[in-house]
Amino acid sequence: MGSALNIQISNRIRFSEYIRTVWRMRSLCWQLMMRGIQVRYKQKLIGIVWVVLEPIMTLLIFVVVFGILLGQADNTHGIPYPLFTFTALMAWQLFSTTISTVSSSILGNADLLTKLYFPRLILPMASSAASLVDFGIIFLLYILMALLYGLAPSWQMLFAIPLLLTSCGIGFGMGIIVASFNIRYRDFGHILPVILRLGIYATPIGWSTDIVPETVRKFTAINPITGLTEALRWSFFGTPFSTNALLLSIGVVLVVLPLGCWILISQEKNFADYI
Amino acid sequence: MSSRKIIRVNKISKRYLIPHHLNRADTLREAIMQAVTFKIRRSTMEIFWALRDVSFDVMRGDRVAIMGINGSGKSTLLKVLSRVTVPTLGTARIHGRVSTLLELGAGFHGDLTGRENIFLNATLLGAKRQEIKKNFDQIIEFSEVGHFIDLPIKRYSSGMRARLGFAIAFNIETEILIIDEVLAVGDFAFREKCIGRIRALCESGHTLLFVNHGNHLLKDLCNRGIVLDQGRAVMDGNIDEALEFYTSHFHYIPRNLWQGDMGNSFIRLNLLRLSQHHHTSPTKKSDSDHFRLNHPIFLTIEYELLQGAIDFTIGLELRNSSGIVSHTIYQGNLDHQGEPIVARGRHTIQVSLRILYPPNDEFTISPVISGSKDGAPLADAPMVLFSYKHDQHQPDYPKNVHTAIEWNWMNR
Repeated sequence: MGSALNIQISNRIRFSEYIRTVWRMRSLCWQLMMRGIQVRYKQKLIGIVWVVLEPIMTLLIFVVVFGILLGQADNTHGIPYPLFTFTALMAWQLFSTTISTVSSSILGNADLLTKLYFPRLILPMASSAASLVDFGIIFLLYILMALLYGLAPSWQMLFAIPLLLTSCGIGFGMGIIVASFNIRYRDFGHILPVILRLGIYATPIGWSTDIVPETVRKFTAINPITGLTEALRWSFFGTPFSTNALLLSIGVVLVVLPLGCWILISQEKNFADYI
Repeated sequence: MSSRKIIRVNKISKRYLIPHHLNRADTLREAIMQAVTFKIRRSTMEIFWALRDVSFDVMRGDRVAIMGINGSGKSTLLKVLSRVTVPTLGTARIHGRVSTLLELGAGFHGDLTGRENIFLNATLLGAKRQEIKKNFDQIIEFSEVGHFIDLPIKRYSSGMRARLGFAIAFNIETEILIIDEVLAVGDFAFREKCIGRIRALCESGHTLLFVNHGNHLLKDLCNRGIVLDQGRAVMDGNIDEALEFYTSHFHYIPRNLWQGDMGNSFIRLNLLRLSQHHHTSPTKKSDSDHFRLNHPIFLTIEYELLQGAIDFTIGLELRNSSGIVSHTIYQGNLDHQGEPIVARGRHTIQVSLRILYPPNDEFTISPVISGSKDGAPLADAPMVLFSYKHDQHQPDYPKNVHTAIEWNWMNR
């Protein structure tokens, strides 16, 4: 504010100007994030409980199905099975909540798109920020559980932060690609939950990659979250992980984040017309 | 430096592609075939230019009325200038902060309180946090919602919501105000307050782009008028010239007869006619455009149902010259036995209106169609217009008395 605004209206996109506008309107991102968080806790007696309930239930299912029924509880390099699963689940949970909230963030605010201008990238940014706050609560729960199991803190655990951010970044990048295409063809919004439901079992969460035969292991490694779950376990427990799988995850985030932003920024001029 | 030119519009055109489902796929196999061969789809796209080579400059402090009949491109122009949509061709430059009121209360969330909603809505309109804090009390006071400000917005009446929306939009710092027909909502007193606020903002040097169907209001607020016709700017001059041009060129379309084809995939409107005679031959172009007091007015609506057995309603909206909806009349799709009209094909319905306490004014009547099939009402329904003049011997009614009318559907 204060400085004279000079708005250019045309069919061309200027990326540098776009990024500057996003920065100038950062308070909108904050406001939208706050709205997302506030709404989640309105008219609910125990809002926080609902946030942690989903991962806890998922964890319980894993403990019962994989740990007890399928007997995976012993293939954990000696780590308590719930902790072993929860560690990997965090990477998956962050990825899947980010991709699903981000992918619906634009269509879900259709009323704003047709009435007002702001850089549309702010919408997925705000919704992923709101789900990061939820994740923070889940993370605290994890720390609590780790302490109860007597896990000693180490410097290696700090690697968890970039690993989790990578997981969030993959979800964000893929999410905005889905969100952009979903404006034109709503099919994309329907495919995503199916893929996520399959993905949670195709990712080494309740099981270790050691049980997978060498020939199949190449295929499990295609999943960009695989490398992150293993590396996350390494950072907490020092269990072995595949460098190639981790490099793949890093490669995916480096491709998918700029690609997603580019698709969204170059497509957003058409959003209001197609919605 | 041409710093006085706050908006420069240079040859803006906007193209829309309207898909026509002439060969809509009825089976999955057809759908797959069409998906594989994109050609079929593309060939049924109709190109529609909503704006064509529109150029004009706006000086700082100008108050510009954008006029035009429905579908002339007014809203598209405002959307382009507020950056909701981009022009297909051409450029525009805006040197200043724009506040757009294409809709009130954008981003309002029902579960949040009025107070919480103020921040998000004002931020969406481009206000900074400090500024919102500074003007916060002013916004609450202007909105007249009082202690309801701490109640979730879903508990508000629609009038309260609208008032809060106005209060935010008019109490943040801006240089250019773009206002589409939103003033039509809200009660009379509050509307006057808003108009007073717009006038004050204009006097303090704000620039205004304004769309409204009330000619008196345009004359009152604006100093300049641009008339759009089929996407082109056909007139650009001072407000008196522009209004003169507009009324002399365009009123023949919304006068007391409208013929055409408009609607959606289940209903098409073909004719609207206002008359003071019960039976008029369709070829007779018009009666007088002045209607006599205490004599009923007959409105004939002809329409075609493209699909049978559809649940819908035809209503009417009566607006006075300031664009305020003074009456909404519902339930018109019943035949003389009170059964809903559901058969495919052409139908005619007629309604008689008796205007009891009108001020001397102009009125427009437009049909409102809503149905459970396609959901949304017709946004750009055609309208007919008439002026109501008192007979000489009738006493003058006080100016602010609301119009009272009686109506009676006379379906056949």
